Amino acid sequence: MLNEDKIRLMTKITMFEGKERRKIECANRYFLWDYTVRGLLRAFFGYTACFALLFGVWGLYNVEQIFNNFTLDTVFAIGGRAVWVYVVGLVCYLLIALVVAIARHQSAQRALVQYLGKLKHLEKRYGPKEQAKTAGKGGRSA
Amino acid sequence: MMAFLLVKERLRLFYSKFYLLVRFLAKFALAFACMYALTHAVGYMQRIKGWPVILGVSAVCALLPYSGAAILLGGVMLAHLQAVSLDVCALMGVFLFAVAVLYYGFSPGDCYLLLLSPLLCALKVPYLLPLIVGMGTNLAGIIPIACGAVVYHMLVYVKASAGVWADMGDMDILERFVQTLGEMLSDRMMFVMVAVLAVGALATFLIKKLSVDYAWVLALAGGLMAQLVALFVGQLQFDIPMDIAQVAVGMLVCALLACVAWLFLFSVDYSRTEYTQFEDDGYYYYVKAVPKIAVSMPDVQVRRLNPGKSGGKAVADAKPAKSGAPVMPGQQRKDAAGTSAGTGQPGGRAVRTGMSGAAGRPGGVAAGDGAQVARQGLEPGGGAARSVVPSAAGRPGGVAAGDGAQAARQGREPGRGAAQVGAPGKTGRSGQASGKVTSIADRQDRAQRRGGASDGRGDL
Repeated sequence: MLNEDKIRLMTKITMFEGKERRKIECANRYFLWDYTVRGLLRAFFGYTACFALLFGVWGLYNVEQIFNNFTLDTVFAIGGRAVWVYVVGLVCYLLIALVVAIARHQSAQRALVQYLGKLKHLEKRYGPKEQAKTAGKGGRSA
Repeated sequence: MMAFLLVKERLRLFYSKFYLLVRFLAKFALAFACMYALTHAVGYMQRIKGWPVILGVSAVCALLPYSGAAILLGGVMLAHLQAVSLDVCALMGVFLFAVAVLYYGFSPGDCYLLLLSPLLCALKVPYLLPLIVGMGTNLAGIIPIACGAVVYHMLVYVKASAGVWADMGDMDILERFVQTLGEMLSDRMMFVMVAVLAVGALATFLIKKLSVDYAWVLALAGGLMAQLVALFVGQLQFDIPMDIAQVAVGMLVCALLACVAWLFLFSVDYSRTEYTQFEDDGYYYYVKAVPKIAVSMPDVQVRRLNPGKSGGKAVADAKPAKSGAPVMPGQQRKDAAGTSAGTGQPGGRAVRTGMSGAAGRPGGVAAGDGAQVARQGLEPGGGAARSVVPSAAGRPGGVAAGDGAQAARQGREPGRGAAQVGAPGKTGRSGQASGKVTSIADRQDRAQRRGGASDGRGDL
């Protein structure tokens, strides 16, 4: 005979799993520190690539001006300014990435706790021990 | 209002039934609209301009997640741009790459906003998206909307300049690149539009957060007004030529669409707001609970009653009948006979009416009269009576229509049938009536045989 309560509980867990799987995954697979470092590394490389591309576009746009005043001092001045912009932008972007990674991991952890709670509930009500107990009494499992 | 809610409910049911198909079709429609607009605006590559390609790409996009669809459509756009100018293609490529890496690294779920934004800009209703973003999703949605607006203005620029580029074919590519980028960056309208969209989303978001009644309606109106003001300020500041009539029509359309979106997505009933207050060890809590408006679908079924089969008493078919009026949250719906129907008052005597009417005031009497309806159906020798008339009941203290006891008296007269009425009805709050009068005499007789007392209410 079908145990409707159990089916309902398991369906709820499966739905939760399906809905929050991606969210839970990061808490399931990584510790907070690892996940944050991973996010920061991704942000660093992404930002660096974008900065390089945008700097290239800017260089092309101002290529005439640069070559007209091409001296070592000009190159150093442009380089210094570019590094300054790069560092400031990178720090801001990494801060955002840090906040997002921490918030996401914490939210995933909360979801994971919820998920584990549901599983525990299932185990408690319908686990092997409970089943054995019910079977020992000679009662029905439903 | 109620019609909208019923349509919403119907759509919800339809979606829950065919959600895979609906999602596929919605994605297909979005991708098709984007492809069509793209081809119409910058369709310079002949190979991918035809209908088969447009339909094929749309179908593939419909199968992909939104991020995949955005990448595919971005590729198609770059291919078209490459056909007309390599430097513009490179610029657009760098821009899209930067957006993809810097923003979509964080929230890839917002890609549909990046697709919708240029599309709505092309339809001259770009003011709608900030309202939706401000009302619903997180505020970071401003970024894809703004990026979409930039893409749209770049495409407009390309469309306007393609003829000129064809004329200066012998120009050095670097020179053309500098000229193109300079002209793109000098497009003030693009920056003004980005600012307008950001201001609109921010204003909507902030007003929505206020703890006042009708905050969401105010947020929509405030968001639209903020966008209008920002647009005029930008126009005055940068002296941008603007078609006022077009802006006005766009705003009006946005207001209408926003109202529809509000009704479909965010409808709540402020008149049933409840306040509560409690405390724990650390805090006092002041809670304001605003119920969402929800209706259940009217589902009218008529029970056919055949008189004369059991000593002149009414005999009902076995087919169960559902009562049919929409029910607000917090209200009960029970079988009408002898129990309260939609009033939320235990033991209420509401017996359903089907008569039209609108008891719209506090203390008003809900539409119709169960007894009257019962009488209609209880003519000597009569069979089943049916009355399906919309009713609009509903304010606090409203009296539910009909009287179970009265109806019971009618139903007990020998040789008469019984009436059942199910009506799709408008309901406001308590005071709504819903249900049917059915086989009253039968049941009361049965109850008496069992030895129980019948008052024409509880045993029905």
